[in-house]
Amino acid sequence: MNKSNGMKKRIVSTLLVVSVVFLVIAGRLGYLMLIKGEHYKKLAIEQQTRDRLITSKRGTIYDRNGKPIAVSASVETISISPETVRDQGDPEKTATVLSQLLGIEKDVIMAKIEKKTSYESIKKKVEKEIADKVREQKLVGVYLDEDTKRYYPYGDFASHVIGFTGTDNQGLLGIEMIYDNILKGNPGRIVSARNARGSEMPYKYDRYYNPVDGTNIVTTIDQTMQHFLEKNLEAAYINNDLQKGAAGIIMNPKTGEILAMATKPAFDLNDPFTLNNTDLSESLKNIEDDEERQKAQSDALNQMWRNKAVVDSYEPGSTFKIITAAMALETNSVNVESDKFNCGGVLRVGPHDIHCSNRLGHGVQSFQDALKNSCNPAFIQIGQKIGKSNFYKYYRAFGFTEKTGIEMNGETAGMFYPLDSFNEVELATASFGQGPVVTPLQMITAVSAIANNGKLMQPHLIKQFLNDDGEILENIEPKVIREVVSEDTAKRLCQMLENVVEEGGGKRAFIKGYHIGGKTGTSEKIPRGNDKYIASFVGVAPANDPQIACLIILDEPTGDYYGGTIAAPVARDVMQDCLRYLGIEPDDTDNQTVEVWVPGVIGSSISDAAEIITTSKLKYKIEGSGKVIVDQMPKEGVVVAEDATIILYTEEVEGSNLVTVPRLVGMPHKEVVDILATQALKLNIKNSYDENSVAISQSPEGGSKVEPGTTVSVEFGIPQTDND
Amino acid sequence: MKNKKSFDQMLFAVALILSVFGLIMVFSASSPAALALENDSFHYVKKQAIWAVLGIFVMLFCSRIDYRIYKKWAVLMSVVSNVLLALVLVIGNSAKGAQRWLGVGSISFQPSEFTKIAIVVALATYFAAMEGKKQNFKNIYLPLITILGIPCILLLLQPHFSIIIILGFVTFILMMVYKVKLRFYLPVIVVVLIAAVALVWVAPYRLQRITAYRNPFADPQGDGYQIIQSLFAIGSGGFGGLGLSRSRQKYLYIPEPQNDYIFSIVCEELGFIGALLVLVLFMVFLWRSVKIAVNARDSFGSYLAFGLCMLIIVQVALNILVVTNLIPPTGIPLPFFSAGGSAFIFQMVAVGIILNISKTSNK
Repeated sequence: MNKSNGMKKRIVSTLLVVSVVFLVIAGRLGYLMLIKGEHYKKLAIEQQTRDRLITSKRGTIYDRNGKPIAVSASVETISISPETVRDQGDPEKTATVLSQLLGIEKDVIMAKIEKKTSYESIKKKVEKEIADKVREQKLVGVYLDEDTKRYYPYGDFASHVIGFTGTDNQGLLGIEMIYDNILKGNPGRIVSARNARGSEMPYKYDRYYNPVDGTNIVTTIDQTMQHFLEKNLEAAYINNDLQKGAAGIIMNPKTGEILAMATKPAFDLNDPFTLNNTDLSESLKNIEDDEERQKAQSDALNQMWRNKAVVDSYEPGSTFKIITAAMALETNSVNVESDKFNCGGVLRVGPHDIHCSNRLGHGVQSFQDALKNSCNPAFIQIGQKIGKSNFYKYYRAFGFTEKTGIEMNGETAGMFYPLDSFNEVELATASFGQGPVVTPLQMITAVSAIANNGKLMQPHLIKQFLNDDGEILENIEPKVIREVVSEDTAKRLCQMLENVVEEGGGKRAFIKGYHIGGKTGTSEKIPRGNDKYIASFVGVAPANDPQIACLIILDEPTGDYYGGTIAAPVARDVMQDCLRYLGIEPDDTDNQTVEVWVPGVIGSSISDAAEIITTSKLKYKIEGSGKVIVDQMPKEGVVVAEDATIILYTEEVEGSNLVTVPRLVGMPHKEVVDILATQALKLNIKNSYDENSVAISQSPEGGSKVEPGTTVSVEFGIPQTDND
Repeated sequence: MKNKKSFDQMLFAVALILSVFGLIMVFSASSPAALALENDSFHYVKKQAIWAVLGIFVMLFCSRIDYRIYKKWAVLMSVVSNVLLALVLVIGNSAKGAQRWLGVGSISFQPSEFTKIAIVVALATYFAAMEGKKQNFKNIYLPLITILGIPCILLLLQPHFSIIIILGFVTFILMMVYKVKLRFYLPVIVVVLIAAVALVWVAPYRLQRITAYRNPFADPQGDGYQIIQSLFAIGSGGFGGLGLSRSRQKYLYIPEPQNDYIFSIVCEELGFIGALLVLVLFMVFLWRSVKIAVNARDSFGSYLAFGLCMLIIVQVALNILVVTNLIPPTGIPLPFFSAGGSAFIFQMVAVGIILNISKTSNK
């Protein structure tokens, strides 16, 4: 029984067939292990490990004096391992306890416990106190992980600058966003292996990655000055019923540091996703379509988060005359002493008649007077002397054509004519501030250059980076971008700007005892003819040695819209607060005023009251025929200028509090303001006014008796006789 | 030709290497499950070690028994095998919905492992006897139905399909080697197809289970679970593996990692290199066995050596094809690696017989 050769062959051939099968297997293994290996490994590790993030502490943001303005507090994230809760824990109890402590529907928690997963997040950012209560319950399969939550101690303070963070602590706006990477640090992780039942594997797979805490940031913002700015800006926002909000910046012109930057209306950083306008948010709720409503909601939020000071560009109007003046001085285009500029109220440039704000004309003026009068025709002539190419060159040099590079999101660069379409008419209007579109930040940076002996500084918001021990990691040094104009030009211009405030259109920014330089601006928004205006004021103080530059922008005021009327007083109040805060003493002896506190004299006899008031270097006026003072105006504690008159009321008879409206017609503006102030009456100016205006009508009429605090409306006009 | 020739050293060595390798892997793969379920990391490996030692003695013992004696025992072995299979149905222990075990005290025995040997012995006897004879319906089908039919019906009742599949493959391969004429295959194919349709018709979940393998990720927690876990383990191995004992998938992700899916743990711990090593060891095993079969003194020896070798190799191929998701899952263990006493002992019996045949082979 011998085997056939055929049989041997067939046996050997099966060897080949099996070899082929094994090769296929080897190929498959190669594919699975070498090509898809990483993919499967990743998936495998995902199911094998429980990755617990240890949140790094987000860096604190400080104001320049070390006051924390954005801080992180420890909170905890509560999660469960459903498999562990089911297998080793008590699902019913777990759901009940978590539901009670965390205020989540029990059904929701139960549904998560029943999931076939190994990890479910229950609630994020749970306060320590509540987290501890959960911990005390010692629930199996419930985990607590440390997390941080951002708090903003001052709520809506500097909201657009500081910004805020989202649910995962990611910066979403402002410094929080721009410096997110630096602030957030690197979160650490505990990776622990777990078996298919959700409990830890005996195998040593645990890895611990230390979190690296975020870097602390010291901003250039001065919490106090920011507060001054916001307080006054907020008042202006309300009083003028600004349709598009307000913006303000205070800068240290010597360093380019932003000391304060505000946008109104502000929003609460601790609740940044709630609209600050309740009417708007109510009306959004009425939108039927879900998608539309969400879009409207998100648009409204984005609008609310806009940092007007760096995002919203505007036409600077007459404030730009500072820049034109600087160009003229620097290029020696004008002779300050001898050049005269005539204004007949209108000037023809090419095919256009360009009017002056004073339709009657300013007559013949010096360069200094042209600036003081904010005379458009004069500035057209000055612009013509500067010439197109110089104007263009300096426009660039002042930094108006590019972003400043401030550490803020959404900064815009403004707009200007391209060189080839910058012709006679464009030059003429640009000279008095119509045409250039700049951001508030660009404007104050340029004006600060003039206040800084001609050196344009890099505006910045960050002063220092600190580690956790408070050691300085990096100091941001002031950076000169370029010298735009000479020191001489800068100094002369500052002097002139002081004159504008003391005698010109900026007089409402005047602060007794201080050298304040500044310029007002009123620009009609484009498209023109809609009666929508931007009122602004830019000032430097003290003008002889500028410590601060301040820009106030009021967007679409209702009622009076002149920069000199509504923006200048805001700037004055802000600068006055700041100068005092900075400890800068009044040194202008020519107009120095001592301010005194009004003493309280209610209840005193007339003679006692008179003595008290006189010793306080104040005057008094007695109303009524009583013997004891029953009321006084202004009240106790109010700060007034020396020699102010205190009205003392001696009778409580009905109507005794009434004051007599003075006759104002014919009085110049300044006098009207002063007189009404002493009578405790408010002034409502019905139209614009300038240096030469006098009151031409009033309501209520002079001589009528009204309650103190009543508003007297006054219309100003140019008397026919006074037209020099 | 010396009668006192020694057996094939290389085959013996490969068998020993595979046994030790397998034992180590059983230990590595089973320890977490052993700890979790039996509270003793060594629970499974202790048993398996006893089987391994016993198996090696069985192998050496069998290598000393002249293989020609099985020709005489063939009928007896078949009868014993069928009786045992029938006994399983009557007094067997069931586990996981199938009745496959005979219990003797604490030791349980799986008669189907003995059946495999008995059938190969019977087939070898039959084909050797048929050498040179005319092929007709009677002398092809009648013996096949007798040898294969009865145990298959008994196995279907357990049920234990994977053994039937293995037996089917081995029978088919031996038929090829005998060179059964083509026309006799057709009825077999028809019968197999009808049987397959019937099985699916009786329990439709089988079809679902078969189709699920094409996209295991469609149901990762259900039908796809095992295969996904297997792919995760294999993929995690990469080129060099995570290191011996460092499998992570064995931590209760792969159910009973010491059993059918032990090869994925080998891949995870030892990587592509380790997996290839396993394949190479089995290729060497096949090569030596084929050499022994070809050189066997008589055709009974050839059929027997080749049939027994194929019993192991077919299982290896099917197991790895399942584990790597190339074919739908069937419960076939990996010889030498998967834990299990009966299977290991009878593998060693098979190797012992092949070794004995090698003693008589003519060079």
